[in-house]
Amino acid sequence: MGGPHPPLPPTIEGQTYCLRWNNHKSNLVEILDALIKVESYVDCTIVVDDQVQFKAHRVVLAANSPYFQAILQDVPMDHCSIIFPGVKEFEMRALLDYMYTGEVNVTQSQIPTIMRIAEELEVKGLFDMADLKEKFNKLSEEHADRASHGYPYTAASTSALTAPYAMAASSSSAQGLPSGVHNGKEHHGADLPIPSLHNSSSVISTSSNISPSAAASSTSSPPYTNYKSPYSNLYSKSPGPAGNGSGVGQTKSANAPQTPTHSQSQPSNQEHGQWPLSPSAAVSMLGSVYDSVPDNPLKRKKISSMTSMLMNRDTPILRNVLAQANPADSSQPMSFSLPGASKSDKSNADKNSPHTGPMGAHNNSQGQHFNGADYGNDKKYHDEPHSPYTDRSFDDDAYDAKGNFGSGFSSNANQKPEWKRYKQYTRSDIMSAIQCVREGMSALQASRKFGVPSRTLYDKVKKLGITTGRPMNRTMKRSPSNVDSSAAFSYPHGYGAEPLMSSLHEGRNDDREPKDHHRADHHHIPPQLPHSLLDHALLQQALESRGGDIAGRGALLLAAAAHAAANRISTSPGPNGSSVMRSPSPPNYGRKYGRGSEQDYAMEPERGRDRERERERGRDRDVDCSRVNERRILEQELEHEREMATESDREQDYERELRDERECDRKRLRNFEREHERERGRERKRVHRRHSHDDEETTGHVEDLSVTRRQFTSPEPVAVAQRRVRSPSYSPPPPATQATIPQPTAVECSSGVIKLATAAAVAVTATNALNPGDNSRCSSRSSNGLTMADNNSNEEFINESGAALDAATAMTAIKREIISTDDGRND
Amino acid sequence: MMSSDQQFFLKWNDFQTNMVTSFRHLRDEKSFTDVTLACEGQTCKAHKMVLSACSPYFKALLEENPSKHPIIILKDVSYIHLQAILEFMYAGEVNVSQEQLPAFLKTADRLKVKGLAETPSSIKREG
Repeated sequence: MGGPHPPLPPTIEGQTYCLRWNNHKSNLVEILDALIKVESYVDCTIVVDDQVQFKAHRVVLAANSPYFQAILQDVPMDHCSIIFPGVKEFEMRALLDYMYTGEVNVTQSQIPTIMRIAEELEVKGLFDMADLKEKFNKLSEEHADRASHGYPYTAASTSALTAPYAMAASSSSAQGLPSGVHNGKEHHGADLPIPSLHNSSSVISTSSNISPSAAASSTSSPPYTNYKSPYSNLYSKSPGPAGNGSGVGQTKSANAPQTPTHSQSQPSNQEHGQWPLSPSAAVSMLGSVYDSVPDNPLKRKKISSMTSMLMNRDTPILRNVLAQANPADSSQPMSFSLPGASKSDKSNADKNSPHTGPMGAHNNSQGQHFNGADYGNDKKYHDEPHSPYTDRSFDDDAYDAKGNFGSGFSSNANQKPEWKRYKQYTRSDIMSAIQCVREGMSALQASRKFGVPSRTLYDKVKKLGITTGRPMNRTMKRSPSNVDSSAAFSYPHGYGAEPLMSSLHEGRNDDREPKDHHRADHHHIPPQLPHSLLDHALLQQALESRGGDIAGRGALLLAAAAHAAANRISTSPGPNGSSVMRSPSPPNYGRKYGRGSEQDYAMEPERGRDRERERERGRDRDVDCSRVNERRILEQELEHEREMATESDREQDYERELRDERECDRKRLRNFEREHERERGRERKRVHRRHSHDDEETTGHVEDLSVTRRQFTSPEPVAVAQRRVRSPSYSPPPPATQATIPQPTAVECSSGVIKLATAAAVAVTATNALNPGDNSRCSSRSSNGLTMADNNSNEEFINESGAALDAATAMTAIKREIISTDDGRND
Repeated sequence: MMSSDQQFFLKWNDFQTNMVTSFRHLRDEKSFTDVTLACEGQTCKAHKMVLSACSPYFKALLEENPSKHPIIILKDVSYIHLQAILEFMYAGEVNVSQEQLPAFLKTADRLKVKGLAETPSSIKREG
């Protein structure tokens, strides 16, 4: 249901209530029709040929015809007779019926003459429709011989006669008036009706600061809306029913307990008093308010969702409110609704009292649901408890937002974006998507293609027992805690996914961005934080939406791996933004997800990245604690990379090729760097006699590791066993003794990027493994080797584009961290 | 010898001029207008008496509908022609462009304006 509603400060003014009788218009029409039938209150007589007289109300005539209005305005008499020579009885009868009821049944043969009379009299909706008249004329000519009452065009004519008056109104205003005899007449043309914009939104609440005439116009009752010149003065002098209504609304507002839903932090306050603006105006206002906030995806998403909501306000909200209150009869008069209530959906939520929110607002929000395309789809939100931490969609939002807001935002929001409540796809979409999956397309592609939320599609596909080529389906039921989160995880691709995607996209080229994401995924978030925040599927989804930019993926992977390595080791702030991530560290929380879904990391690179990210949640562990786990982590990394090496995905292959190419370049650069490094090392030798063993040996060692790493064939048995054993829950770190340098076996490693990361990781592992025995040596080796790698990465950074940016940064971080750590330890 | 009950013939030579002027004046001021003629979405006011005097059509129409201030909506009548006809009724003369003349005469004929429409009787008489 709608978000919780913040308490309204009692001092807020401008709270108005819309008193609206939904049957008003129909009542008026019915009464007029009844009156003319008994000829009550008639004040004019229309005389046509053969002395046939019709009684009528001048007000109705004037309402339906600017022509009559102009005539009758100047003839203020008790009872006037309108003599209409040359007009047949049936013609005038039809026109009067039309004017009183809005529709009339005529035969096809009568249409041309009736239309002519209507044109003469400027009957709204009928006159000045040249094309229509032509059509009828043509029809009458063509079918004059076989004109019959049963002819289909009879029906057509009827519908034509009920054409909206707006056409007539606009055309009459275009017509204008030549200078007439009467002075008062000139401005009629100018004031002739332009279809009111208010009519587009039939549910505009009357508020006290709207003039009665404007309020009357907002109710979109046809005639008087448009005739400003004769009546507006009258209205403003003596408030009509609408004015009275708003007055009552004011009174009620003082007493009404269901008070309103304002949040001071939201800009919606500003237009509260003027809510009866057209929705688009409100949207633009909100949009401008949000635009003032620096660009961020959540805001964008909110705006879009608000926009969608406001645009949907076309449908009478109040009617829905009434439907809620009195399901039996939606036409009962007098119900109060809060004009600003629906805004509470998007205004900030008060998680303290979600259920005590005003009933009106509650209903309003539900009214939105009723107006939504698929009510059933919304049910889960209705049923959802309103605990702040079970609000899945919020979690979703929070994930998206945290990159920019940090944890500060999470205290702010329990609202749910409105776009999530709407199914943005049709049944045919999902069916087509399922069909595509059945035919072998991956579920994700299908979901993208048809704009169906992938989770939904997975669900459906799963239910149908279709096996997709990708292992993604398994993410669905991987862990119990994911199940409920799946409810909230639907990305209507058209809508809210856009900001997310764009933000992620930006992140690809921005080396800071991945870190922000990492921050969002940080495992130091409080344990009670919703699971879906850590959900792999969510992360995966987010990553999948980035599209298949391989370079970006590679860079991200490398960055993630590097970060993982660096952050587990580091104690001191790194220079390149890694310090941002540093924070006091509660025990690892995110890890359990990383472990739990380990076997689901089938070889998808995205998933690999996911895991890297998950792992990064554990990055801020203290060195002393993390040391124990480092080997295990590194093992897993290696193992993971081994898995990746056996990945047979074509995409991966392509990636691999690319990376291999890059690796060649990198090798060259590395050799070059190595030369430099040797020279530097010789200098260093003089300074640091301790580390003077041999630089050649160090570099050679790293090189060996790197090379041998490439030759792994099968996962190390120990590591495999560990992995299999692991369960979704947190498993204690393996004993330190188990962690050894992975034994090189024989396999072709996948990519150069990975190799780089691997080199670093192996070096670190080597450091760790050898540290107890030979501190100085290890320190020297690792630092040197990693320096090398770093330099390589820097070269890559220069040569390649933003793809390697992450890698470079990460490597730098690794290097510095390792150096500092090792130095700190050794010294 | 003239008889004592000799009557004098008093004639205001400017009577017709005055009447024409006065009617025009009254019409211009819309004084005592008691009928509204409407066509093409525009109206002009006139006096029933003048209309009845100048047109058997209006005379019959107004006799049939004894109303204090009837509104006569004329179908298929050009407002310009209506103005010209009224001018002709009130002044006895009007200027009409040549291209408008046939339509004007047709309209006048429809409205049976004396002096413009050829009544069957007059035709018969002339014939």
